[in-house]
Amino acid sequence: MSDAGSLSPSGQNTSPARWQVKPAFDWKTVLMVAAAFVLLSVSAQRMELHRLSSQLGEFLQASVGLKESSQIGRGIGSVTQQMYPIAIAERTPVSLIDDFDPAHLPLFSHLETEQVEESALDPATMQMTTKTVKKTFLVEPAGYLLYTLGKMLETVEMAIWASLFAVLMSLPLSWVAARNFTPHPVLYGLARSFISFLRAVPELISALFLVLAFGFGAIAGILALALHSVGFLAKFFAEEIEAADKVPQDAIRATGAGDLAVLRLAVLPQVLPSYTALTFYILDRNIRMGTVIGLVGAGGIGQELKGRYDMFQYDHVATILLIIFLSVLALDALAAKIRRKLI
Amino acid sequence: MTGMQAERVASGPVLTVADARKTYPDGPAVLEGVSLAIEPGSFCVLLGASGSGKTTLLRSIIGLVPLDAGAIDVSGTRLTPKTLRSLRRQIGMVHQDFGLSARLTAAQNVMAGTAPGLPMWRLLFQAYPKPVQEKACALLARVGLEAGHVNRPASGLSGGQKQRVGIARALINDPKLILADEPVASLDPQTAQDVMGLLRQTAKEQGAAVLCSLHQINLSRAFADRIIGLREGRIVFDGPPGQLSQDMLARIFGTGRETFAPAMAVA
Ligand SMILES: Nc1ncnc2c1ncn2[C@@H]1O[C@H](COP(=O)(O)OP(=O)(O)O)[C@@H](O)[C@H]1O
Ligand SMILES: [Mg+2]
Repeated sequence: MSDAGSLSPSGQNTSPARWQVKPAFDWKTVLMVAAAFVLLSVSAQRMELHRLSSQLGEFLQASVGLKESSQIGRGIGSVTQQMYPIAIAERTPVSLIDDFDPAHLPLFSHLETEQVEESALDPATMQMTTKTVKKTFLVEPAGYLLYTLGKMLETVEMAIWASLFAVLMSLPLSWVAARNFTPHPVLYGLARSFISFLRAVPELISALFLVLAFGFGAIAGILALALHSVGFLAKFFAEEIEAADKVPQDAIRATGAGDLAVLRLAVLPQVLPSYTALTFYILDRNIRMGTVIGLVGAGGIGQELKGRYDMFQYDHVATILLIIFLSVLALDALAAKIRRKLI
Repeated sequence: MTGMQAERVASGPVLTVADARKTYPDGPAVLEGVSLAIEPGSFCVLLGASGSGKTTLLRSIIGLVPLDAGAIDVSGTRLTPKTLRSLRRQIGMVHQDFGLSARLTAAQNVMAGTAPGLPMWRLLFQAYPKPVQEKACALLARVGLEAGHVNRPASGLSGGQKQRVGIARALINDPKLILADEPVASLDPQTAQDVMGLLRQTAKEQGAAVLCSLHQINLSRAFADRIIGLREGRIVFDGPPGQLSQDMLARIFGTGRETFAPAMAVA
């Protein structure tokens, strides 16, 4: 028995002078690159990408003073001007506060009084009259900042619950959806389709419907995030199971153990680091997506953002955006720390 | 040897393989009618070159590779899909690449051998019964590990230590039969000697028969009671080490010990 023979049964006796090294790139690669180029050009037409360059050019010219104004500048400029200064304090007319008690103001807050011009229709003369009224406001210096932080915390809580539910659902689902462990091929097919379906439905879309079913608020948001996360996690959990080293699995199976014992003793120890990394990724993603699905009323800071944006209160919008940005940064650092501890 | 084991001795071989045949999908025939019987307590070496079918034969005995034809009996019980799991529990197996879970500790790897008899929650929380824990520690000491190794992840052990853990795991169910597939293939020569000696000694103490595949002639000669020579899926030699002459070695490994095609070596 010769090793050379078993390695290449067909070419074992040719002289090395006739051997050939396969080129890394061949005409097929060239054709594929050409085809991709054509497809991208067609797509660029459909996307009107030429407008991107002309509009960006106009904007750049305008910003260095070569042009009067640009479309992008006009669209963004008015908004950005109103974003500064950002809203930190909360000013509430006391007339809107139930059971207002001037003797017991909230901590660090004070009252402000202002002359406000109000127009009203005089019922006697049927004419618009303007009169000056005195209005009292309750001012909480960091009121809006604290309120927004609370809303951000709500979004983070939503993301944590969604990720927790997603992991708990994905663990059993990934077992059924792993080709080498599924209890039955039919179940495998069903599980895979279910997972693909969940992944195919974006959070924003499912949140629209879940808000109808569960009402405005966090529950709809948690479910929307969790369902999409299952579609992602279960797929990758299952693929980790399929790719796990078979040697330890055979060793456990050879003791007479069943599939579940093999999963626990030989597969789980192998996949745990990647499961942890995937879970952190999905938590991170859920925090970012959690701010977005608030836009359709599914709770958290996004709901607040949508409200302020629709009321053109761009200084409040700026506060919200800043808080989202800082929170994602902080959570990123925290997650990196935890991950280092766990792996 | 206890009375129960004496009874088994009287009842015949601990393992019989009858006319085992195996061809992998779109591959050559790997086992071409292998028949053998292993007597209780004997240390048998399955000797053969790389690719001769040793792994395939051992894996088919424990039901990890389905045979195309042939029969396997363990202590008189036929291996069938129905008896598979219960027979596996009576066999210990030592693997070429150790087969340990790298992130489980030495003790957890040994205790994993008792998994089939335990409820799932115990496995889930790695909460093994006290007697199992004590037995695992005793076995780890038996194979020459120290207290400091017990709770160390398998990934932190040397190759020799890993295989010692593998042997301890194979012993935890008091098997009558131990299968070992090139247990020292990835160890240096001195460690290989030590581990082979340990495998033989512990098996003898336990009264377990061993079927151990090897490709090293010197190790086979040193440790085997009986050598079974396998070549291209057929048994070409079966006898005590004393009968392993140069002629017989040529039958097992081919004419020259060189496995590269001579024509190419010259050209
Ligand atoms: N899973 C498999 N599929 C296809 N061919 C295999 C498989 N396992 C082993 N073989 C082939 O069977 C032959 C015998 O392999 P093996 O039993 O591993 O021999 P050994 O353990 O003596 O080296 C080899 O030619 C190998 O390529
Ligand atoms: Mg082998």
